[in-house]
Amino acid sequence: MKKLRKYAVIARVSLKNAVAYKASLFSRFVFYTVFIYVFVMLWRAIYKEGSVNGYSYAQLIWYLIFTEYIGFCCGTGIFSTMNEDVKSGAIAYLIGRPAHYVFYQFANSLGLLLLNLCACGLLAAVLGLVFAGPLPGFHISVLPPLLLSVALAVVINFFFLMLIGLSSFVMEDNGALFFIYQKLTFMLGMFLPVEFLPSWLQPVAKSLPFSYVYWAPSRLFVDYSPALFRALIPRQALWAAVSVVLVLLCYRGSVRRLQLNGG
Amino acid sequence: MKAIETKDLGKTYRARVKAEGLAASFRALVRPQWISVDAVRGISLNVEQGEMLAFIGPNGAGKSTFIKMLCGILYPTAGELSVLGLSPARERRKLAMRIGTVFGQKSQLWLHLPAVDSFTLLAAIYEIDNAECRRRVAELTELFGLGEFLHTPVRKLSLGQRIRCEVAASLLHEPELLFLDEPTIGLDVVVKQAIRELIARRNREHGTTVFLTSHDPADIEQLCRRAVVIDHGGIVLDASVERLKSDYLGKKLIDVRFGTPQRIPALPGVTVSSESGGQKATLTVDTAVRPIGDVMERLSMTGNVLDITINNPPMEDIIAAIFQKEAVR
Repeated sequence: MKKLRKYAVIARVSLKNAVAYKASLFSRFVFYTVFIYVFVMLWRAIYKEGSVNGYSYAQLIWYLIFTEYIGFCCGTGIFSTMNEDVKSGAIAYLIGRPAHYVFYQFANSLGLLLLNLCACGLLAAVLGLVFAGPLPGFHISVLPPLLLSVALAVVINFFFLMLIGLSSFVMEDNGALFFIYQKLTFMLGMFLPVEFLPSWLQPVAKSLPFSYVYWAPSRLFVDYSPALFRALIPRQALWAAVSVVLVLLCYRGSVRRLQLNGG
Repeated sequence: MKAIETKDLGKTYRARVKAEGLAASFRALVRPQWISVDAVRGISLNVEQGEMLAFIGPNGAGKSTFIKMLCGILYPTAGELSVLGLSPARERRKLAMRIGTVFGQKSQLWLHLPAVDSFTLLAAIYEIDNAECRRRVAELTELFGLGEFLHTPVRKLSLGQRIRCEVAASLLHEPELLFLDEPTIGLDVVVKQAIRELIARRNREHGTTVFLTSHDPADIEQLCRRAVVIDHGGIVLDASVERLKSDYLGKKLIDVRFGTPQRIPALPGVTVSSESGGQKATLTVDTAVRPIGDVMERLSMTGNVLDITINNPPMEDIIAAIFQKEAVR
Protein backbone atom coordinates (compact mmCIF):
# COMPACT_ATOMS: atom_id res chain seq x y z
CA MET A 1 0.00 0.00 0.00
CA LYS A 2 2.85 2.37 0.90
CA LYS A 3 4.37 1.63 -2.50
CA LEU A 4 1.21 2.80 -4.25
CA ARG A 5 0.77 5.74 -1.90
CA LYS A 6 4.12 7.20 -2.91
CA TYR A 7 3.00 7.55 -6.53
CA ALA A 8 -0.30 9.13 -5.44
CA VAL A 9 1.63 11.69 -3.36
CA ILE A 10 3.96 12.39 -6.31
CA ALA A 11 0.90 13.06 -8.51
CA ARG A 12 -0.62 15.32 -5.83
CA VAL A 13 2.56 17.36 -5.41
CA SER A 14 2.97 17.63 -9.18
CA LEU A 15 -0.60 18.94 -9.43
CA LYS A 16 0.25 21.55 -6.82
CA ASN A 17 3.37 22.40 -8.80
CA ALA A 18 1.38 22.66 -12.06
CA VAL A 19 -1.07 25.07 -10.42
CA ALA A 20 1.91 27.23 -9.42
CA TYR A 21 2.62 27.85 -13.12
CA LYS A 22 -0.46 30.03 -13.71
CA ALA A 23 1.16 32.10 -16.44
CA SER A 24 2.18 28.96 -18.32
CA LEU A 25 -1.37 27.58 -18.15
CA PHE A 26 -2.81 30.87 -19.36
CA SER A 27 -0.38 31.12 -22.27
CA ARG A 28 -1.31 27.58 -23.32
CA PHE A 29 -4.97 28.63 -23.31
CA VAL A 30 -4.19 31.58 -25.55
CA PHE A 31 -2.09 29.46 -27.91
CA TYR A 32 -4.81 26.77 -28.03
CA THR A 33 -7.50 29.36 -28.86
CA VAL A 34 -5.42 30.99 -31.62
CA PHE A 35 -4.54 27.59 -33.07
CA ILE A 36 -8.19 26.50 -33.17
CA TYR A 37 -9.26 29.82 -34.69
CA VAL A 38 -6.72 29.51 -37.54
CA PHE A 39 -7.80 25.95 -38.37
CA VAL A 40 -11.49 26.78 -38.14
CA MET A 41 -10.93 29.50 -40.73
CA LEU A 42 -9.03 27.04 -42.90
CA TRP A 43 -11.77 24.39 -42.78
CA ARG A 44 -14.47 27.03 -43.28
CA ALA A 45 -12.75 27.96 -46.56
CA ILE A 46 -12.53 24.31 -47.62
CA TYR A 47 -16.05 23.24 -46.67
CA LYS A 48 -18.91 24.64 -48.69
CA GLU A 49 -21.59 22.21 -47.66
CA GLY A 50 -22.29 18.53 -47.03
CA SER A 51 -19.60 16.24 -45.71
CA VAL A 52 -16.09 15.16 -46.61
CA ASN A 53 -15.11 11.52 -46.09
CA GLY A 54 -18.11 11.10 -43.78
CA TYR A 55 -17.33 14.17 -41.63
CA SER A 56 -19.71 17.12 -41.59
CA TYR A 57 -18.28 20.61 -41.03
CA ALA A 58 -19.38 20.60 -37.38
CA GLN A 59 -17.95 17.14 -36.85
CA LEU A 60 -14.62 18.12 -38.36
CA ILE A 61 -14.33 21.27 -36.25
CA TRP A 62 -15.17 19.28 -33.12
CA TYR A 63 -12.68 16.61 -34.26
CA LEU A 64 -9.97 19.24 -34.57
CA ILE A 65 -10.84 20.79 -31.21
CA PHE A 66 -10.72 17.34 -29.63
CA THR A 67 -7.37 16.29 -31.15
CA GLU A 68 -5.83 19.57 -30.05
CA TYR A 69 -7.41 19.12 -26.62
CA ILE A 70 -5.70 15.73 -26.30
CA GLY A 71 -2.51 17.31 -27.59
CA PHE A 72 -2.64 19.92 -24.85
CA CYS A 73 -3.50 17.32 -22.20
CA CYS A 74 -0.59 15.18 -23.31
CA GLY A 75 1.77 18.12 -23.33
CA THR A 76 3.73 17.29 -20.20
CA GLY A 77 7.09 17.74 -21.89
CA ILE A 78 8.28 14.35 -20.68
CA PHE A 79 10.68 13.99 -23.61
CA SER A 80 12.49 17.27 -22.94
CA THR A 81 12.32 16.70 -19.18
CA MET A 82 14.14 13.38 -19.53
CA ASN A 83 16.69 14.84 -21.93
CA GLU A 84 17.36 17.72 -19.57
CA ASP A 85 17.62 15.40 -16.56
CA VAL A 86 20.29 13.34 -18.29
CA LYS A 87 22.23 16.34 -19.58
CA SER A 88 22.18 18.20 -16.25
CA GLY A 89 22.81 15.06 -14.23
CA ALA A 90 19.69 15.70 -12.13
CA ILE A 91 18.63 12.19 -13.03
CA ALA A 92 21.07 11.00 -10.35
CA TYR A 93 18.56 12.03 -7.69
CA LEU A 94 15.63 10.39 -9.46
CA ILE A 95 17.30 7.07 -10.17
CA GLY A 96 18.84 6.91 -6.72
CA ARG A 97 15.50 6.86 -4.92
CA PRO A 98 13.34 3.97 -3.79
CA ALA A 99 10.79 4.60 -6.52
CA HIS A 100 10.69 3.23 -10.04
CA TYR A 101 11.94 5.97 -12.35
CA VAL A 102 9.36 5.22 -15.06
CA PHE A 103 6.38 5.30 -12.71
CA TYR A 104 7.83 8.27 -10.85
CA GLN A 105 7.87 10.23 -14.11
CA PHE A 106 4.36 9.13 -15.00
CA ALA A 107 2.99 10.09 -11.58
CA ASN A 108 4.97 13.31 -11.78
CA SER A 109 3.26 14.16 -15.08
CA LEU A 110 -0.21 13.22 -13.89
CA GLY A 111 -0.69 16.49 -12.01
CA LEU A 112 -0.22 18.57 -15.14
CA LEU A 113 -2.24 16.08 -17.20
CA LEU A 114 -5.19 16.28 -14.84
CA LEU A 115 -5.03 20.06 -14.68
CA ASN A 116 -4.93 20.27 -18.48
CA LEU A 117 -7.72 17.72 -18.79
CA CYS A 118 -10.08 19.76 -16.62
CA ALA A 119 -9.09 23.33 -17.45
CA CYS A 120 -8.52 22.82 -21.16
CA GLY A 121 -11.64 20.65 -21.40
CA LEU A 122 -13.83 23.58 -20.42
CA LEU A 123 -12.10 25.86 -22.91
CA ALA A 124 -12.42 23.24 -25.67
CA ALA A 125 -16.16 22.91 -25.03
CA VAL A 126 -16.65 26.67 -25.18
CA LEU A 127 -14.60 27.02 -28.40
CA GLY A 128 -16.50 24.13 -30.01
CA LEU A 129 -19.86 25.68 -29.20
CA VAL A 130 -18.72 29.07 -30.49
CA PHE A 131 -17.17 27.85 -33.75
CA ALA A 132 -19.29 24.82 -34.64
CA GLY A 133 -22.38 24.81 -32.43
CA PRO A 134 -23.55 21.69 -30.58
CA LEU A 135 -22.08 18.42 -31.84
CA PRO A 136 -24.82 16.50 -33.65
CA GLY A 137 -25.77 13.25 -31.90
CA PHE A 138 -23.60 13.85 -28.83
CA HIS A 139 -25.01 12.68 -25.51
CA ILE A 140 -23.56 13.13 -22.05
CA SER A 141 -23.71 9.34 -21.51
CA VAL A 142 -20.82 9.05 -24.00
CA LEU A 143 -18.45 10.75 -21.56
CA PRO A 144 -17.30 7.69 -19.52
CA PRO A 145 -16.24 5.57 -22.55
CA LEU A 146 -14.76 8.71 -24.10
CA LEU A 147 -12.72 9.44 -21.00
CA LEU A 148 -11.43 5.87 -21.09
CA SER A 149 -10.33 6.40 -24.68
CA VAL A 150 -8.65 9.69 -23.78
CA ALA A 151 -6.89 8.06 -20.83
CA LEU A 152 -5.56 5.29 -23.08
CA ALA A 153 -4.47 7.87 -25.66
CA VAL A 154 -2.61 9.79 -22.97
CA VAL A 155 -0.89 6.59 -21.81
CA ILE A 156 0.13 5.60 -25.35
CA ASN A 157 1.51 9.06 -26.09
CA PHE A 158 3.27 9.42 -22.73
CA PHE A 159 5.01 6.07 -22.87
CA PHE A 160 6.05 6.36 -26.51
CA LEU A 161 7.51 9.79 -25.73
CA MET A 162 9.21 8.25 -22.72
CA LEU A 163 10.60 5.52 -24.95
CA ILE A 164 12.16 8.22 -27.12
CA GLY A 165 13.30 10.06 -23.98
CA LEU A 166 15.05 6.91 -22.76
CA SER A 167 17.22 7.00 -25.85
CA SER A 168 18.96 10.01 -24.25
CA PHE A 169 20.51 7.50 -21.82
CA VAL A 170 22.57 6.10 -24.67
CA MET A 171 22.39 8.68 -27.49
CA GLU A 172 23.97 12.12 -27.59
CA ASP A 173 21.22 13.66 -29.70
CA ASN A 174 17.79 12.08 -29.96
CA GLY A 175 15.92 15.10 -31.34
CA ALA A 176 15.38 13.40 -34.71
CA LEU A 177 13.40 10.56 -33.11
CA PHE A 178 11.12 13.04 -31.39
CA PHE A 179 10.68 14.97 -34.64
CA ILE A 180 9.65 11.80 -36.51
CA TYR A 181 7.21 10.77 -33.77
CA GLN A 182 5.65 14.24 -33.71
CA LYS A 183 5.15 14.27 -37.47
CA LEU A 184 3.69 10.77 -37.53
CA THR A 185 1.11 11.54 -34.84
CA PHE A 186 0.36 14.85 -36.53
CA MET A 187 -0.29 13.33 -39.95
CA LEU A 188 -1.97 10.14 -38.72
CA GLY A 189 -4.83 11.64 -36.80
CA MET A 190 -4.02 14.98 -35.23
CA PHE A 191 -4.27 17.23 -38.25
CA LEU A 192 -6.57 15.04 -40.34
CA PRO A 193 -8.82 12.09 -39.55
CA VAL A 194 -7.41 8.79 -40.81
CA GLU A 195 -10.39 8.60 -43.21
CA PHE A 196 -8.89 11.56 -45.11
CA LEU A 197 -5.75 9.58 -45.99
CA PRO A 198 -5.46 7.68 -49.31
CA SER A 199 -7.36 4.41 -49.10
CA TRP A 200 -4.16 2.30 -49.30
CA LEU A 201 -2.67 4.21 -46.36
CA GLN A 202 -5.66 3.92 -44.04
CA PRO A 203 -5.13 0.26 -43.02
CA VAL A 204 -1.44 1.00 -42.49
CA ALA A 205 -2.30 3.97 -40.27
CA LYS A 206 -4.80 1.89 -38.30
CA SER A 207 -2.23 -0.79 -37.67
CA LEU A 208 0.25 1.67 -36.14
CA PRO A 209 0.11 3.10 -32.62
CA PHE A 210 0.26 6.75 -33.74
CA SER A 211 -3.38 6.86 -34.86
CA TYR A 212 -4.56 5.70 -31.46
CA VAL A 213 -3.29 8.85 -29.77
CA TYR A 214 -5.47 11.36 -31.62
CA TRP A 215 -7.66 9.70 -34.21
CA ALA A 216 -9.27 6.95 -32.10
CA PRO A 217 -10.60 9.10 -29.20
CA SER A 218 -11.56 11.99 -31.52
CA ARG A 219 -13.38 9.68 -33.93
CA LEU A 220 -15.23 8.17 -30.96
CA PHE A 221 -16.14 11.66 -29.80
CA VAL A 222 -17.61 12.92 -33.05
CA ASP A 223 -19.32 9.71 -34.15
CA TYR A 224 -19.82 7.54 -31.06
CA SER A 225 -21.35 4.11 -31.38
CA PRO A 226 -20.96 1.01 -29.19
CA ALA A 227 -19.64 -0.87 -32.22
CA LEU A 228 -16.92 1.74 -32.80
CA PHE A 229 -16.10 1.70 -29.11
CA ARG A 230 -15.69 -2.11 -29.22
CA ALA A 231 -13.49 -1.80 -32.29
CA LEU A 232 -11.18 0.96 -31.07
CA ILE A 233 -10.77 0.49 -27.33
CA PRO A 234 -9.13 -2.98 -27.46
CA ARG A 235 -6.61 -1.68 -30.00
CA GLN A 236 -5.88 1.35 -27.84
CA ALA A 237 -5.52 -0.88 -24.79
CA LEU A 238 -3.16 -3.14 -26.71
CA TRP A 239 -0.93 -0.24 -27.79
CA ALA A 240 -1.03 1.21 -24.27
CA ALA A 241 0.16 -2.13 -22.86
CA VAL A 242 2.81 -2.47 -25.56
CA SER A 243 4.14 1.03 -24.89
CA VAL A 244 4.37 0.43 -21.13
CA VAL A 245 6.11 -2.93 -21.56
CA LEU A 246 8.52 -1.48 -24.12
CA VAL A 247 9.43 1.37 -21.79
CA LEU A 248 10.02 -0.96 -18.86
CA LEU A 249 12.21 -3.27 -20.95
CA CYS A 250 14.15 -0.43 -22.51
CA TYR A 251 14.59 1.29 -19.16
CA ARG A 252 16.10 -1.86 -17.71
CA GLY A 253 18.55 -2.06 -20.59
CA SER A 254 19.42 1.60 -20.96
CA VAL A 255 19.91 2.42 -17.28
CA ARG A 256 22.88 0.03 -17.31
CA ARG A 257 24.45 2.07 -20.07
CA LEU A 258 23.71 5.49 -18.59
CA GLN A 259 26.64 7.91 -18.62
CA LEU A 260 26.70 10.93 -16.36
CA ASN A 261 29.61 13.27 -16.49
CA GLY A 262 30.55 16.06 -14.15
CA GLY A 263 29.48 16.83 -10.59
CA MET B 1 29.88 -5.19 8.45
CA LYS B 2 31.63 -2.36 6.68
CA ALA B 3 29.65 0.58 5.34
CA ILE B 4 31.46 0.49 2.01
CA GLU B 5 33.67 -2.18 0.49
CA THR B 6 35.04 -1.96 -3.03
CA LYS B 7 37.59 -4.17 -4.72
CA ASP B 8 39.28 -3.17 -7.96
CA LEU B 9 36.23 -1.10 -8.87
CA GLY B 10 36.36 0.38 -12.33
CA LYS B 11 34.18 2.34 -14.72
CA THR B 12 35.03 2.72 -18.35
CA TYR B 13 32.84 4.53 -20.82
CA ARG B 14 32.97 5.41 -24.47
CA ALA B 15 33.31 9.00 -25.57
CA ARG B 16 32.99 10.29 -29.07
CA VAL B 17 35.92 12.28 -30.43
CA LYS B 18 35.80 14.72 -33.27
CA ALA B 19 38.78 16.27 -34.97
CA GLU B 20 38.81 19.95 -35.81
CA GLY B 21 37.40 21.26 -39.06
CA LEU B 22 34.37 20.85 -41.29
CA ALA B 23 35.80 17.91 -43.25
CA ALA B 24 36.43 16.03 -40.02
CA SER B 25 32.84 16.67 -38.96
CA PHE B 26 31.57 15.08 -42.19
CA ARG B 27 33.96 12.15 -41.77
CA ALA B 28 32.64 11.71 -38.24
CA LEU B 29 29.13 11.42 -39.65
CA VAL B 30 30.12 8.42 -41.72
CA ARG B 31 32.72 6.93 -39.46
CA PRO B 32 32.39 8.20 -35.89
CA GLN B 33 35.43 7.70 -33.72
CA TRP B 34 35.22 6.64 -30.12
CA ILE B 35 37.73 6.50 -27.33
CA SER B 36 37.57 4.53 -24.15
CA VAL B 37 37.75 6.64 -20.98
CA ASP B 38 38.68 5.08 -17.64
CA ALA B 39 36.76 7.30 -15.23
CA VAL B 40 37.51 5.03 -12.28
CA ARG B 41 40.30 2.47 -12.36
CA GLY B 42 40.74 -0.29 -9.84
CA ILE B 43 39.70 1.44 -6.62
CA SER B 44 39.79 -0.78 -3.54
CA LEU B 45 38.40 0.96 -0.49
CA ASN B 46 36.86 0.06 2.85
CA VAL B 47 34.87 2.49 4.97
CA GLU B 48 33.82 1.62 8.51
CA GLN B 49 30.34 2.35 9.81
CA GLY B 50 30.20 5.70 11.59
CA GLU B 51 33.35 6.90 9.83
CA MET B 52 33.59 10.32 8.18
CA LEU B 53 35.72 9.98 5.10
CA ALA B 54 36.96 12.71 2.81
CA PHE B 55 37.23 11.68 -0.81
CA ILE B 56 39.21 14.35 -2.55
CA GLY B 57 40.87 15.08 -5.83
CA PRO B 58 40.98 17.60 -8.65
CA ASN B 59 38.11 18.12 -11.09
CA GLY B 60 37.66 15.14 -13.38
CA ALA B 61 39.46 12.80 -10.99
CA GLY B 62 36.49 10.41 -10.88
CA LYS B 63 35.00 11.34 -7.49
CA SER B 64 31.41 11.80 -8.62
CA THR B 65 31.50 8.73 -10.85
CA PHE B 66 32.73 6.68 -7.89
CA ILE B 67 29.95 8.03 -5.64
CA LYS B 68 27.32 7.35 -8.30
CA MET B 69 28.48 3.76 -8.54
CA LEU B 70 28.23 3.43 -4.77
CA CYS B 71 24.66 4.75 -4.95
CA GLY B 72 23.74 2.34 -7.76
CA ILE B 73 23.13 5.16 -10.24
CA LEU B 74 25.99 4.09 -12.49
CA TYR B 75 26.97 0.50 -13.17
CA PRO B 76 30.61 -0.47 -12.71
CA THR B 77 32.39 -2.09 -15.62
CA ALA B 78 34.92 -3.88 -13.41
CA GLY B 79 35.43 -5.01 -9.84
CA GLU B 80 33.18 -5.64 -6.89
CA LEU B 81 31.35 -3.40 -4.47
CA SER B 82 29.12 -3.68 -1.47
CA VAL B 83 27.38 -0.81 0.31
CA LEU B 84 25.78 -1.57 3.68
CA GLY B 85 26.00 -5.22 2.68
CA LEU B 86 24.01 -4.67 -0.51
CA SER B 87 24.95 -4.66 -4.16
CA PRO B 88 24.09 -1.15 -5.44
CA ALA B 89 23.57 -2.30 -9.02
CA ARG B 90 21.27 -5.21 -8.18
CA GLU B 91 19.54 -3.83 -5.07
CA ARG B 92 19.41 -0.14 -5.84
CA ARG B 93 15.96 0.62 -4.48
CA LYS B 94 16.58 -1.39 -1.32
CA LEU B 95 19.86 0.46 -0.81
CA ALA B 96 18.22 3.82 -1.55
CA MET B 97 16.08 3.38 1.59
CA ARG B 98 19.27 3.35 3.68
CA ILE B 99 21.44 6.01 2.06
CA GLY B 100 21.11 9.75 1.60
CA THR B 101 22.70 11.89 -1.09
CA VAL B 102 23.43 15.56 -1.53
CA PHE B 103 24.82 16.64 -4.86
CA GLY B 104 25.71 20.24 -4.09
CA GLN B 105 25.38 21.39 -7.69
CA LYS B 106 21.93 19.85 -8.18
CA SER B 107 18.65 20.19 -6.41
CA GLN B 108 16.26 17.55 -5.20
CA LEU B 109 13.66 20.13 -4.17
CA TRP B 110 10.71 21.34 -6.23
CA LEU B 111 11.66 24.84 -7.25
CA HIS B 112 8.19 26.37 -7.30
CA LEU B 113 6.92 24.76 -4.12
CA PRO B 114 7.89 25.30 -0.48
CA ALA B 115 10.50 22.92 0.91
CA VAL B 116 7.87 21.38 3.18
CA ASP B 117 6.10 19.98 0.08
CA SER B 118 9.32 18.36 -1.09
CA PHE B 119 9.71 16.87 2.38
CA THR B 120 6.17 15.44 2.17
CA LEU B 121 6.94 13.98 -1.24
CA LEU B 122 10.25 12.49 -0.10
CA ALA B 123 8.60 11.04 3.01
CA ALA B 124 6.10 9.24 0.77
CA ILE B 125 8.87 8.01 -1.53
CA TYR B 126 10.76 6.65 1.47
CA GLU B 127 7.53 5.12 2.80
CA ILE B 128 7.45 7.14 6.01
CA ASP B 129 3.95 7.46 7.47
CA ASN B 130 2.38 10.87 8.07
CA ALA B 131 2.83 11.03 11.85
CA GLU B 132 6.48 9.99 11.63
CA CYS B 133 7.00 12.44 8.75
CA ARG B 134 5.66 15.31 10.87
CA ARG B 135 7.93 14.33 13.75
CA ARG B 136 11.03 14.15 11.56
CA VAL B 137 10.27 17.38 9.71
CA ALA B 138 9.83 19.12 13.08
CA GLU B 139 13.14 17.70 14.31
CA LEU B 140 15.02 18.71 11.17
CA THR B 141 13.35 22.12 11.13
CA GLU B 142 14.67 22.79 14.61
CA LEU B 143 18.09 21.30 13.95
CA PHE B 144 18.65 23.12 10.67
CA GLY B 145 16.78 26.30 11.59
CA LEU B 146 14.36 25.98 8.69
CA GLY B 147 11.31 27.43 10.48
CA GLU B 148 11.48 30.87 8.87
CA PHE B 149 11.47 29.64 5.28
CA LEU B 150 9.95 26.16 5.38
CA HIS B 151 6.80 27.44 3.67
CA THR B 152 8.54 29.74 1.17
CA PRO B 153 8.90 28.52 -2.45
CA VAL B 154 12.40 27.14 -2.90
CA ARG B 155 13.14 29.47 -5.81
CA LYS B 156 12.90 32.41 -3.41
CA LEU B 157 15.44 31.00 -0.92
CA SER B 158 19.07 32.07 -0.69
CA LEU B 159 21.67 29.46 -1.65
CA GLY B 160 22.52 28.87 2.00
CA GLN B 161 18.87 28.33 2.92
CA ARG B 162 18.39 26.01 -0.03
CA ILE B 163 21.42 23.89 0.83
CA ARG B 164 20.19 23.58 4.42
CA CYS B 165 16.91 22.30 3.01
CA GLU B 166 18.78 19.95 0.65
CA VAL B 167 20.80 18.41 3.48
CA ALA B 168 17.69 18.18 5.68
CA ALA B 169 15.82 16.48 2.80
CA SER B 170 18.57 13.91 2.46
CA LEU B 171 18.32 13.10 6.17
CA LEU B 172 14.54 12.79 6.31
CA HIS B 173 14.58 9.00 6.01
CA GLU B 174 17.41 8.77 8.58
CA PRO B 175 19.99 7.19 6.31
CA GLU B 176 22.81 5.12 7.74
CA LEU B 177 25.18 6.41 5.10
CA LEU B 178 25.30 9.93 3.71
CA PHE B 179 27.02 10.82 0.45
CA LEU B 180 27.85 14.50 0.30
CA ASP B 181 29.16 15.62 -3.06
CA GLU B 182 30.45 19.16 -2.55
CA PRO B 183 27.72 20.17 -0.12
CA THR B 184 29.21 23.56 0.71
CA ILE B 185 29.98 24.72 -2.82
CA GLY B 186 29.18 28.40 -3.31
CA LEU B 187 28.26 29.06 0.32
CA ASP B 188 29.62 31.84 2.50
CA VAL B 189 31.91 31.09 5.44
CA VAL B 190 29.19 31.35 8.10
CA VAL B 191 26.74 29.04 6.33
CA LYS B 192 29.53 26.58 5.51
CA GLN B 193 30.40 26.40 9.18
CA ALA B 194 26.74 25.85 10.11
CA ILE B 195 26.40 23.02 7.57
CA ARG B 196 29.59 21.37 8.85
CA GLU B 197 28.36 21.52 12.44
CA LEU B 198 25.04 19.97 11.45
CA ILE B 199 26.72 17.13 9.61
CA ALA B 200 29.13 16.52 12.48
CA ARG B 201 26.24 16.50 14.93
CA ARG B 202 24.34 13.97 12.81
CA ASN B 203 27.38 11.73 12.79
CA ARG B 204 27.87 12.09 16.56
CA GLU B 205 24.25 11.55 17.57
CA HIS B 206 23.09 9.01 14.98
CA GLY B 207 26.35 7.35 13.99
CA THR B 208 25.68 8.25 10.36
CA THR B 209 28.57 7.30 8.10
CA VAL B 210 29.60 10.28 5.98
CA PHE B 211 31.31 10.05 2.60
CA LEU B 212 32.33 13.56 1.65
CA THR B 213 33.82 15.11 -1.44
CA SER B 214 34.76 18.76 -1.32
CA HIS B 215 37.20 21.25 -2.70
CA ASP B 216 37.09 23.17 0.54
CA PRO B 217 39.97 22.09 2.81
CA ALA B 218 38.07 23.31 5.85
CA ASP B 219 35.25 20.80 5.19
CA ILE B 220 37.78 18.00 5.25
CA GLU B 221 39.85 19.28 8.14
CA GLN B 222 36.87 19.95 10.36
CA LEU B 223 34.75 16.93 9.54
CA CYS B 224 36.96 14.03 8.60
CA ARG B 225 39.72 12.02 10.19
CA ARG B 226 40.59 10.04 7.11
CA ALA B 227 41.16 11.25 3.58
CA VAL B 228 41.43 9.39 0.33
CA VAL B 229 43.00 11.34 -2.50
CA ILE B 230 42.26 10.24 -6.05
CA ASP B 231 43.47 11.36 -9.42
CA HIS B 232 42.85 9.98 -12.91
CA GLY B 233 40.39 7.49 -11.45
CA GLY B 234 42.84 5.85 -9.05
CA ILE B 235 43.79 6.26 -5.39
CA VAL B 236 46.87 8.38 -4.89
CA LEU B 237 46.82 8.37 -1.11
CA ASP B 238 44.75 6.88 1.72
CA ALA B 239 45.76 8.39 5.05
CA SER B 240 44.56 10.28 8.10
CA VAL B 241 43.87 13.96 7.53
CA GLU B 242 46.52 14.80 10.12
CA ARG B 243 49.10 12.58 8.46
CA LEU B 244 48.22 14.06 5.15
CA LYS B 245 49.16 17.45 6.43
CA SER B 246 52.28 16.49 8.38
CA ASP B 247 53.74 14.08 5.81
CA TYR B 248 53.02 15.96 2.67
CA LEU B 249 53.43 19.50 3.75
CA GLY B 250 55.42 19.78 6.96
CA LYS B 251 54.73 23.45 7.09
CA LYS B 252 52.76 25.61 9.49
CA LEU B 253 51.48 29.11 9.08
CA ILE B 254 52.01 31.46 12.01
CA ASP B 255 50.01 34.67 12.09
CA VAL B 256 51.44 37.08 14.60
CA ARG B 257 50.41 40.57 15.69
CA PHE B 258 52.71 42.89 17.65
CA GLY B 259 51.93 45.91 19.84
CA THR B 260 54.66 47.95 18.12
CA PRO B 261 56.29 47.45 14.70
CA GLN B 262 58.89 44.69 14.80
CA ARG B 263 61.60 43.46 12.49
CA ILE B 264 61.57 39.68 12.37
CA PRO B 265 65.09 38.25 12.23
CA ALA B 266 65.96 35.89 9.37
CA LEU B 267 65.80 32.23 10.41
CA PRO B 268 66.64 29.11 8.41
CA GLY B 269 63.41 27.27 7.48
CA VAL B 270 61.24 30.33 8.06
CA THR B 271 59.92 32.69 5.42
CA VAL B 272 58.01 35.80 6.23
CA SER B 273 55.15 35.70 3.80
CA SER B 274 53.59 39.06 4.46
CA GLU B 275 54.06 42.02 6.68
CA SER B 276 51.91 45.10 7.18
CA GLY B 277 53.81 48.00 8.69
CA GLY B 278 55.76 45.65 10.92
CA GLN B 279 52.83 45.07 13.27
CA LYS B 280 51.46 41.96 11.54
CA ALA B 281 53.28 39.08 9.92
CA THR B 282 52.61 35.65 8.48
CA LEU B 283 55.45 33.18 8.81
CA THR B 284 55.68 29.93 6.88
CA VAL B 285 57.66 27.47 8.94
CA ASP B 286 59.20 24.31 7.54
CA THR B 287 59.04 22.15 10.65
CA ALA B 288 61.52 19.67 9.20
CA VAL B 289 64.17 22.39 9.32
CA ARG B 290 63.09 24.30 12.39
CA PRO B 291 60.75 23.17 15.18
CA ILE B 292 57.65 25.29 15.60
CA GLY B 293 58.43 25.79 19.33
CA ASP B 294 61.76 27.33 18.45
CA VAL B 295 60.09 29.89 16.16
CA MET B 296 57.49 30.70 18.83
CA GLU B 297 60.22 31.28 21.36
CA ARG B 298 62.12 33.56 19.01
CA LEU B 299 58.96 35.51 18.27
CA SER B 300 58.16 36.02 21.92
CA MET B 301 61.73 37.22 22.47
CA THR B 302 61.21 40.01 19.94
CA GLY B 303 58.78 41.41 22.52
CA ASN B 304 55.27 42.81 22.61
CA VAL B 305 53.38 39.93 20.94
CA LEU B 306 49.66 40.68 21.19
CA ASP B 307 48.25 37.71 19.33
CA ILE B 308 49.56 34.57 17.71
CA THR B 309 47.82 31.76 15.84
CA ILE B 310 49.16 28.60 14.19
CA ASN B 311 47.33 27.24 11.13
CA ASN B 312 47.69 24.35 8.74
CA PRO B 313 48.15 25.25 5.10
CA PRO B 314 45.10 25.07 2.79
CA MET B 315 44.12 21.63 1.55
CA GLU B 316 44.64 22.68 -2.06
CA ASP B 317 48.32 23.18 -1.31
CA ILE B 318 48.45 19.78 0.31
CA ILE B 319 46.82 18.09 -2.66
CA ALA B 320 49.14 19.94 -5.03
CA ALA B 321 52.12 18.73 -2.99
CA ILE B 322 50.86 15.14 -3.10
CA PHE B 323 50.52 15.25 -6.86
CA GLN B 324 53.97 16.80 -7.20
CA LYS B 325 55.48 14.08 -5.04
CA GLU B 326 53.69 11.33 -6.97
CA ALA B 327 54.85 12.82 -10.26
CA VAL B 328 58.46 12.73 -9.03
CA ARG B 329 58.04 9.06 -8.12
